[in-house]
Parts: sequence; C-alpha cells; structure tokens
Amino acid sequence: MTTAKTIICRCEDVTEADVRAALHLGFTDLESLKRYAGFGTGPCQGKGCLSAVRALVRETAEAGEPTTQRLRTRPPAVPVALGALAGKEEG
Amino acid sequence: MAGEKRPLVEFRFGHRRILARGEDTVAAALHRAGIRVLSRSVKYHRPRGYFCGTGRCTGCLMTVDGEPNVRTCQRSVEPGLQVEGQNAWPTVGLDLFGVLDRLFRRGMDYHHLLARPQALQPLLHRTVRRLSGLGKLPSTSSELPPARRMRKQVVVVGAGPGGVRAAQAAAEAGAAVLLIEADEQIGGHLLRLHPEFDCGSGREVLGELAEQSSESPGLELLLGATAFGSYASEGLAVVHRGELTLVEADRWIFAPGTGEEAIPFPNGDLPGILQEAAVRALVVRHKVRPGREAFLIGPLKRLQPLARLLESAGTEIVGTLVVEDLAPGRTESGEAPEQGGLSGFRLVGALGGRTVRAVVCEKDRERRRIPCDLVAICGAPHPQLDLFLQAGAEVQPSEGSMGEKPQVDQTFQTTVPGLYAVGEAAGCQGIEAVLLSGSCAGTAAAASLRPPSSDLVDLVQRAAMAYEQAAAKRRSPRA
Amino acid sequence: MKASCEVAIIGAGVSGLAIAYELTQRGISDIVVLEKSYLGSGDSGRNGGGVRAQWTSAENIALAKGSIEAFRDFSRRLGYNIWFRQGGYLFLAFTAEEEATLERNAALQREHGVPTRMLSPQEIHELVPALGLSGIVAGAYHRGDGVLVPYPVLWGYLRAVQEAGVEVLPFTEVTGIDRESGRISGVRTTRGSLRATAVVDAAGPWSSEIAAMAGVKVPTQPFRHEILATEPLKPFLDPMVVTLSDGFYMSQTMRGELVGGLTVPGEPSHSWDSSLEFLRRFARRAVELFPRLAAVRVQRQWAGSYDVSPDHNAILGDVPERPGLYLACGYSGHGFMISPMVGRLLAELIATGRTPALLEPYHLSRFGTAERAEETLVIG
Repeated sequence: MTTAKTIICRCEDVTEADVRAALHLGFTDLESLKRYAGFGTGPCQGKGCLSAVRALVRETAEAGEPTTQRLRTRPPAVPVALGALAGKEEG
Repeated sequence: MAGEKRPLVEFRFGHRRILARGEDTVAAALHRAGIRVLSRSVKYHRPRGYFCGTGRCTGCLMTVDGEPNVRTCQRSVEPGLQVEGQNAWPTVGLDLFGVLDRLFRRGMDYHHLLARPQALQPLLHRTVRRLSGLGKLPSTSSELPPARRMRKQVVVVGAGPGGVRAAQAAAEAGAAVLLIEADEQIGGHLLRLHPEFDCGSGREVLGELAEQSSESPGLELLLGATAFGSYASEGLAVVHRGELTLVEADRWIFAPGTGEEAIPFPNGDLPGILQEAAVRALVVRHKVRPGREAFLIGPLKRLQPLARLLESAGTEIVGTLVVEDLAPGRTESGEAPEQGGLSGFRLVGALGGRTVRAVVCEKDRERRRIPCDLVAICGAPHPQLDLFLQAGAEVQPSEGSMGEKPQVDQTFQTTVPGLYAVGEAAGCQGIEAVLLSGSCAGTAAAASLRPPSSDLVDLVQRAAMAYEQAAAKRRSPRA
Repeated sequence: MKASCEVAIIGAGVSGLAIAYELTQRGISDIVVLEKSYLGSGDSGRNGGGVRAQWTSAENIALAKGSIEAFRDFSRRLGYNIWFRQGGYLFLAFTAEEEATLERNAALQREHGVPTRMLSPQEIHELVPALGLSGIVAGAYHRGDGVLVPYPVLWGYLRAVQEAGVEVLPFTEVTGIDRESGRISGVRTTRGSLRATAVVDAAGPWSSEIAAMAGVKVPTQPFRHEILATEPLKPFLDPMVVTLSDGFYMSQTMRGELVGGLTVPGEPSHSWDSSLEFLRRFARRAVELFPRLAAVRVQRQWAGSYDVSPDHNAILGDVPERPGLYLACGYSGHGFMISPMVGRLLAELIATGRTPALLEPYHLSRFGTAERAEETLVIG
C-alpha cells in the first residue's frame, strides 16, 4: 500500500505538508517558496502543480497574498534534446 | 497519414511482448495490455502511470530503445521497440525501493535529514546519489541532426480549431503562412472528442478544417513540430521531428490551447487516476478501455459526455461526484442529479497499492468507500502560457478557475506588438468563439502587413464584430 | 525595520549572509541585512554550485581552500544539508599550450597545499568514461573540489543569523547612503532610513551602483552568464568537467541533473534573459565532449551575472576615504565558493578595525596603484 500522502508536485514528490511547512517557516513569496519546497523545479517546470500551490498559499492564513504571484517562465517550454540543439545549419 | 489504418505492431516491455495498434502511443498500448505502473517517483518511489495524456507530466517517463526519460504517452509505437521502466529495482511494477514511501510515512525533509552528525554525511551522500536520477545515460551516441531556418510572414503555433482557422484567415487575406503543430495530425483537443457523444462541441468541424488547410495555397503545414522557445531577436525555436528549426516571422499567432488543473488529494497520484484529457485520449484516439469501473469527478456538463463515452468503451460508472467549481481544496459535490451520484460529499482520498482500488468520500460523519479501478477528474482548463510569457506578453486573471490568460485587444493582439493569442488559450469558450477568434486574429495579422486599405479594415472590423456578437449572445440569457 | 543598527549589509546573497553570520560569531548581532528582492533571487541562487581550489594566485587558493573546509563542516554546524559532493574538478587541455598552463597552475596550487594532479588521457578516461577523448592532451584534477546546492547554504546562514537576532529584510531596496562629517552614517531604503556605523556593499552586480551612492568608484561591470539544467539521469559523472578555451563547465547534481554553462562574449548588462545562441553553443560543446548526451534533454535554462573587476579578483575590504564603508564584491563569477572565508575576514576587519593580511591583495586601492596579476582561470 502506498502511504496516504497528498502529492502536490509529482515531478519532485513534494507533498502538501512540505509546502505548508515551508510557508510556516516564512517562505511566503512564490519564488522563495518554490526554492525551499522544491515544487516546480522538475521536468514539468510547474505545469502540474502551480495552481494547486497558489490555491494552498491563498488558503493559508499566515501567508496572505504571495508577494510575487507568478513564477518566472524559462525556456524551453518542453524539454529538448541536446543533440537537436547541437544541430548545425547546412551551408 | 492520419485516418489510414496501420498494421498491428509488436514491441517489448521488459521481457513481455506487447501487441499494439499501429496508431498507438507506447503508453496507450501498455495501458491496454493492463500495464498501469509505468514509472516510480523520484523520492518515495511511488507508482505512477498515465495521468495527463498530453506529455506534460512525468508519470509515463520510460526508457525506449536506450533513450531515457521518454514521454511514452507522446511516443508512437514501432515494431521491435524495447521499452523499460526507470529508476526501479527489480522492475517498475514491483520496485523494492517502494519501501522508502513507507519508511518516510510522514515525508522526508532532505534539508535536515541526517545533517548531523558529520560522520554520517559521506554515507548519506553516497546513498542519495545512488538513488538519484531517472533514466540512464544512453550507451551509444547518435548522428547529430541538421538544423534549419524558415521564414514566413505569419506563423501560427498550434493546429487546434483556433490555430487552423487563424492560419486559413491569414492565408485568405494574402499572407504567406506557416502552421506549426506538435502532433502528427491537426485538430488539437478536437481529436479527443467523440463524434457521437460530444455533439455541439465542434468535433464536426475537424473534417472541414483538415480539408481547408490542405487546400489553402499560401498555407504551409508543419506537423510533428514543437515550439519550445520564443527568443527575442532570435525567433521561435522549434523541434521538428528531432531537428532544430529556427522560425522567423513578421506576425505571430499562438494557439497553444489549455492544460487541465491538477487536484491534489491523498493518494491522488496512484496509477488509474487520470485527468479527463487522458481518459479521452485513451478512448477516442487509441480505442483503449481505460478501466472496468470508473468514478468520475467534475462539473456536470463534462461528466455527462465523459460517462457516455466511457460506457461506450465498456466501462461501468460506479459513482460520480459532481463538483461544479472543482479546484484544489474544493472537492465537495452539490446535488447529484443522476443515479450513482454522491451529493454533498467531499473527496477524502484514494486507496490502492500499485493502482487505484477505491475512492473515499465523506459527508458529515459518514465515510463511503467506492471500489473502482479508474478515477477520472475533470480539472479546470488553464491557458498554456509558456510561450506568451517568454515573449513578454502581459497576462490577466481569467474568469473562474481558468488561471490566467494573455491580455488581448479586440483583434486578439497581445501586449507584444505583432503577437496574437487565439482559441482557448485566449480565454475563448465554445467552438464558435474559438473559431471566430482565429478568423479575427488571422485577418488582422495579415492585414497589418499591408498598407491600410478600406477592404482590409472592413474585413477585420467584421471579424471583430462577429466575435463580439457571439460573445454577447453567450453572456445574455436566452429569451 | 528598526531605526538604527551597528552594521547594515546591502545584499542578502551568500556574501552578505556569510559576513552577517561571522559577525554574530564574534558577538556582533545588531545587524540588518537588506535585500531588494526575494532571498536567493540574485547570483547566489543562480550559480551552478561549483566549489574549487584550483586558482592561479596564492591568496585565491587560500580563500578557496579555507572555504572548502568550511563547506565540509557546514551541514553539521548550521544544520542544513548542502550536499557538498567532493567529486573533483577536471580541467581539460586540448593543446600543448593549454597543458603547459595547467601544469604551471597545478604546481602553484601544490605549493600552497592543494594537491592538484596532472592526468594523462588514459587516467582521464578512467575518471570520466563518458568523455569522448578526441583531442584531449591532458587534464588537471583536484579531487577535493566539488559541487554543492547553493540554496541551503543561504537558508543555513539565514536561520543562524535570525536566531542571533539579525534582521534580514527582503523586498527592501537601498536608495541612498548617508554620510556625516565624512563618515558613513546610514542608508536610505524603500522602507525608510536606517542609521548604521558600518555599511557593507555586498550587492553583487549592483555593487558599483551602490558604491556610487557613497561617492565611491568601484570599477566592476555586470556581465550576463547563462546556464542550463538537463533532466535527471542516473549518476555517471563524478567531477565537474571544464575546458579552458570557452569556459565550458558541466557537472551532475545530487538529483542527477547535468548543470553547466559556457562563456558567450557580450557587452556589460544586467540582463538575465535566456538566449537560443547559448543553448546551441552549449549543446554543441557538450555533445562534442560527451557524444552519448545527444538524447538527453534540457529542461530549463536561466542566467545570472558576474560582477567583473578589471583583474577578475574580488574587491574586499574598507575604503579609507569613506570610513564605515566596506566592500565585498567584484567576485567575477566565483563569489559563492569563497564566501565562508570572505565572511570571516570581513567580519574580522569590521570587528577589530584591522585588515587581515589575506585581505590586503583584494583592496580597492590596487586599481589606483600598483598593478596586480589577473586571475585567468575564470569559467562559465
């Protein structure tokens, strides 16, 4: 049996409890929270967890409104192979 | 070619031989063969599987012919493929490292885990390092593909209905257009709609769109091409069948569509718990029965067609939780209009060992356990913002739980001059609005390339007005 | 925010926090650390976590060597795992000239207690089997070098200083530095004024702008440096691998991701935008060196700045023309890895008023006076 964890970030196995603990420690803006708790730093880069985290932050009384609302979006929008990137144009 | 039936294909998963339809993806074929556990999570080695169906999550990551971290829900089957699980021993189905999940029942805080005493550090590091990573470095190298550049006047990203209509409209208005689509067919989310069970959804438009785009001169279609980066002054970076393609254009129209919001709950990551798009991809595109007994969660107007679709595939609906405003933390149902619906219940969690075996719902003090092997959750659609944000477009909150969407003017131009947003990604709801947004933006984009003329202004104005009228009709109650 | 303090530190990156920490170790805790954005937003949160002692001057070697010792002990002392993995740094030489450079550097390092060894192609192959060997002539390897995870270093320092009573204020920007009768008297911020006897400029790429507020010219310029991370792979790469000609570096993290960068020449800029050019150049180099990487995917790219001084050496110490002002900047891309030692030395200076000998070569005055040899082993 798997244990009844509530996984909020599947890529990095970050649980709801982890995010609450980080908020409690004072990481109340989304960027710091992400770095401490680890959500959004894996292969999907937050596609699957961001709205759930924001809902949690809004709900948590201590945090109030996060100081920075949205995470900075970085390329690539989907993972890309190094071999493709290394390709040279002909001529 | 899409529509043509391909012969059956055989590939291997570990030692097992898997028979698949030629059109299957690896993950769909495995699902049909009853293989639900496709991967193990990084920290706790929890079983994971088919979940989003759109290549966004990591549940279906497996090694295919030595290539690590392949999103098998997007990878087509080929004869003789060798598919392996990753990051598990002895197999991904029975992974002894799953004990970590039980050992760290209440979670593991790796910031503080064994930080003291000093003497344990080397052992801690060695162990953690050994367990780290997903796939293995391939054992062979490969020939590097070439790269190329393309230039068009108007480039449209995403060949769902909005993008296709925008490309057609731009071509009709005289521009040279390139339409880029990651899938091997056009259609976007329409490909997950059933002609019979999803009436009024726009599914019927699919054939029309395909016909029109192949007939349109001045419209070049690039399939199997995924746009991954909007780089100021460098252009749009695309990977087209493994090759880097750098695209330059005078006008851009992004129609990337939406993703589904995930709803976390206890054991919500078990294989067999799928998002709506994943269920639809399995049934409609791959003719896979996703489960024998399904429990559905979401708004009524999405559950009804989904239930009929599943029943047509031979799945029994064992219960529903109708939650109109389903969102993370908001899983309580309202009145259940149909048999099997739980009204006033709240989702408490799922149960299962390697795959889901039941859901647990609660009302007042009553807990109910509903056995099932499939849970379908219809999360709110969220515009895919990556490319817009990379390009520097401003976004604004979207209505209800739709997250955010790009700010656009009446011709669907974003705050970045020359960049337009159409379709569901621009917040359009319903096929009519999606198509109209495409017409509007496509026409406006092409028209803006030419000196202003009364014909073109007229054309753009009419397209914009058509959209406004349709939007007004939706907003006002019908007489 | 309080109205006055003994020491105001501008910048809560690793430099500022290490100084704050070492001051508290000396009994000084009436400190306010001012951070204009969120904690870790600057280069302390953007670097690749590389830590090495292979430098080309006695003092740089000393700072780095001492810092490595401190990092080894960090988790125990501060209670946060920083995952410092000493897998070594391997510098590669492709020409006889590069080999000679590495040999010279290695000899100097050994003289100063860092046992860097020269490796033959065969030994390199044993150390990094995945490396394609064509063109590699030799390598320099110090196995005590390694990589760590930067964020917990910040959190560890943060918690320790907060427990000692230090105020760390994010989202608080310094807008001016005040003087009274020639002495530094405090700072002005977006949250109000703060009187202070000592002000430390640890503002990373904004250091020269901050110093200008006190009428001091610090000759550094910010240069963008890009970096990327791949999807996680099972462990296969032990050392950080570096090439000299283009500053290419790549290592594997404790999560299995490959992290690396290289130098793309450009004009000074505060930009942290990512470019396709960097992605392509890095990919080409990475696949050239490690042919088996072709099917490995990049999952994220980002950027940071190097606060570059004319000789690529840090600018540390007091400013005699401005009593009360201290500089901890100009790190030119290697500030994180010397931060524990810099923390100690700056704390000693601020607490005692006497400049430790090891700090002297880093003094700002060198740019007006005698020339100093340039640090050439700069990568990324």
